Amino acid sequence: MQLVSTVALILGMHTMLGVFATALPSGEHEIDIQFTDPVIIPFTLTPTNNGYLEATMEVSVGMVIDGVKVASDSATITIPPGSIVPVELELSISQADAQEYFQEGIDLQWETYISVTTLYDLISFSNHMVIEGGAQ
Amino acid sequence: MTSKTGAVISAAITLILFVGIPYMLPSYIPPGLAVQIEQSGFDLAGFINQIMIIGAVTAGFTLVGGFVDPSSVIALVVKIAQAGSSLVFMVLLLGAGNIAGLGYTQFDIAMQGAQSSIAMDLRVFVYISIGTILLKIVQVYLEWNEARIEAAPPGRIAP
Repeated sequence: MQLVSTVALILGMHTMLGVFATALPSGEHEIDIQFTDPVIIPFTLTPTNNGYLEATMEVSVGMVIDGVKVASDSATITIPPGSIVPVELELSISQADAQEYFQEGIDLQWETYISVTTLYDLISFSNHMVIEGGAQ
Repeated sequence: MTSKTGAVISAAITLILFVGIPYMLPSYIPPGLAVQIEQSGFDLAGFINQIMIIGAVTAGFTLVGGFVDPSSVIALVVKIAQAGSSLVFMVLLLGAGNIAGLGYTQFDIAMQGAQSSIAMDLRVFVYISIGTILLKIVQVYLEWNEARIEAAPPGRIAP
């Protein structure tokens, strides 16, 4: 029983942390904001499961102005072992609101949440991040 | 190999693995990683100390267990305590030093312009460990009872 649980722990951690690490954007990434009406802010993640167990990833992104969430999008995906499942999220804001939000002095924050569960949903790893992102 | 020699060797291995290696570990952590760990708010020194204390206690129980009469009550108590210290070690390890979390760890990292809250849920392994340790305690009791019966003088039934 101890051996089985140790193997399960190693496999689970390998899958969980591997998916989480690849889901995070690395290096310099520019967000290609589409200034249409409504304004579209796209986010693309490419989580990769190099582990041996199926993983489920829940991801959400939100835009917070003065402590109020004004736009958000979320997705839940299942990533089989050895697969890459791209996730595309987008925030949609009316052009009038966008002009107001992207002004200097506005308290703008980006909120992201990534949760990875595996081993038949028995173990999980999550990260809730709040990034300051006002106009420069 | 007598049980005493076996106990001394087991205690020495336990001391090396859970006291010696953790004691040396901080000097082998790269400075960059040490700074990141410090920034995360994770109390690495406290975690290592907890591991070392449990390691020393487990080594002590192992040593005592090898020197007492297997049919004595002390042997039973020591073996149950040894199983208990194994459980505490597992809970400590899975909870990254937070015993009260029972395998659920959460810590906050504040970086320049960003705040991150990380949570890891490994509670299922704590529950499995509790089950394993309970079975181990039953096994220890049955073995002790058998040793007691064997140690009783011929014609007498152990109380």
